[in-house]
Amino acid sequence: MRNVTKPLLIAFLVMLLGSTAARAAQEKIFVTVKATSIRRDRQFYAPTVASAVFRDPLLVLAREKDWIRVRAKGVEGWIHASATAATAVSVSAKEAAVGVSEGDVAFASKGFDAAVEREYAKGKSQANFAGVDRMEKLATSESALAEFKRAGNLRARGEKP
Amino acid sequence: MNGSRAGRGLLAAAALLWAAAGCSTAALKDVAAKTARTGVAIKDKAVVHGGALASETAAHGKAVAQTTTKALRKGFADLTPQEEYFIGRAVAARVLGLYRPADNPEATRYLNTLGLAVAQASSWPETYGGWHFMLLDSDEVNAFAAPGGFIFVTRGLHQSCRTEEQLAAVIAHEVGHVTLRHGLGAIKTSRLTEAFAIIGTEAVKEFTGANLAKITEAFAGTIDDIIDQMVSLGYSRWQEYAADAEGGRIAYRAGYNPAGLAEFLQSLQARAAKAEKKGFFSTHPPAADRLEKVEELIVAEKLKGETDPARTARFSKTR
Repeated sequence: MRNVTKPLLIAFLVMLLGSTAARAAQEKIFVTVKATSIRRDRQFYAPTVASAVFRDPLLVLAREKDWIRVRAKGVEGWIHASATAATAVSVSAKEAAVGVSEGDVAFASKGFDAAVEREYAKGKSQANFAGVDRMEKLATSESALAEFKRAGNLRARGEKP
Repeated sequence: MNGSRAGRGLLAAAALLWAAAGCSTAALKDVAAKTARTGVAIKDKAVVHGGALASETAAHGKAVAQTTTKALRKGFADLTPQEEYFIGRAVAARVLGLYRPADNPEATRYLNTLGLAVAQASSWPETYGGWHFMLLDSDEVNAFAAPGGFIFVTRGLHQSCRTEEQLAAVIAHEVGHVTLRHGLGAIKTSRLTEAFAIIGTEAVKEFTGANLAKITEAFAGTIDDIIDQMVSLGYSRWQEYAADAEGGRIAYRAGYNPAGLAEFLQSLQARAAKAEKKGFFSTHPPAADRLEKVEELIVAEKLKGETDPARTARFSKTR
């Protein structure tokens, strides 16, 4: 009895692991930010292996804390989870179950966008969108940020203890 | 002399702008509680940012965009990162209609680098349009956080800080307001219900005519709600505590000494009390309460850090 149970249990576990891995390999997510990088390692200063933009599809290979290993554009690398989602619009699990597709609905749906902003700006003289455009151009390069951290002895502490 | 007294009075009042909490409603508190508990806004297991939905929740056939959208989206937690970005841009535009940017490129560059170092340690390091920081030309001691990652710090607040740790802690607090989505929580639910209904009924790719006017009206109301809360009323005391706690954790993860926030609150409290021993400060005691809670947090979560002299030295050059 004991000799029969053990191989069966091992076979079951192998099947379970294989099934989980297969599901993970098939999972598709999308980029939800204007522009980002797929990186060689799980950190923001790691070299970029590919650029990604809003709506780019990514194939999930693995997950490690806040980072996701993905395949896209013929390369593999890491992307931070906050730059991705299964859809670009949030849906409840209950409602998703009744028929929300992963990409088409999300990206087809409209909302507060550039056209609405243009219309809004017409009637709002006190809204300084030119100032916001200038603010968005105040970009910090990765090398400048790395030097700022080095000079200030700033060492990220990873997860909260 | 009078000028000095008036200056201290102004500082005391200005300090309260940043330190004092605003009004609250039960509904708002509930919503905020929900987001703060999770660290990211989660509704029915759907992660709004900071992660992906489980594959099981997606994709079962092809739904019609307008009907599903109408049925699905109910409140601010259902706004997409892109929508949050456009809301944030409009709120930021209104802030820049009230305050002029400071003409100090060096300090602005420093603020952006420091701000990014802090924001990357948050639960939402990558927003749709990225994190951006602006120094405002105002003596007020104040800071604002618009949805999507637009952070404003006044010259008065910058000059009130004594160390980089203090400025980093204040920025971390503002980043916390964004990641906890406190600004979006100020939007009246009816605005979004109306907007989502319009969005759900338009079958074309872009709004036109009457529907464009209606969605723009809902958008304008949304921006007014956030500006009222953020600039005029202030966040609730409960939200300030939540942003303090989240800010403390963010500052710690970024490598800063989270005690910077406690030091800054202490300094505000002392200077305001000196200038105005009774009055507004005594009727709005959150600085003292916040200080106590921040100190408790540092002990409870073992967030002890060191204030680095190299950071303090470079900060001094920007004041």
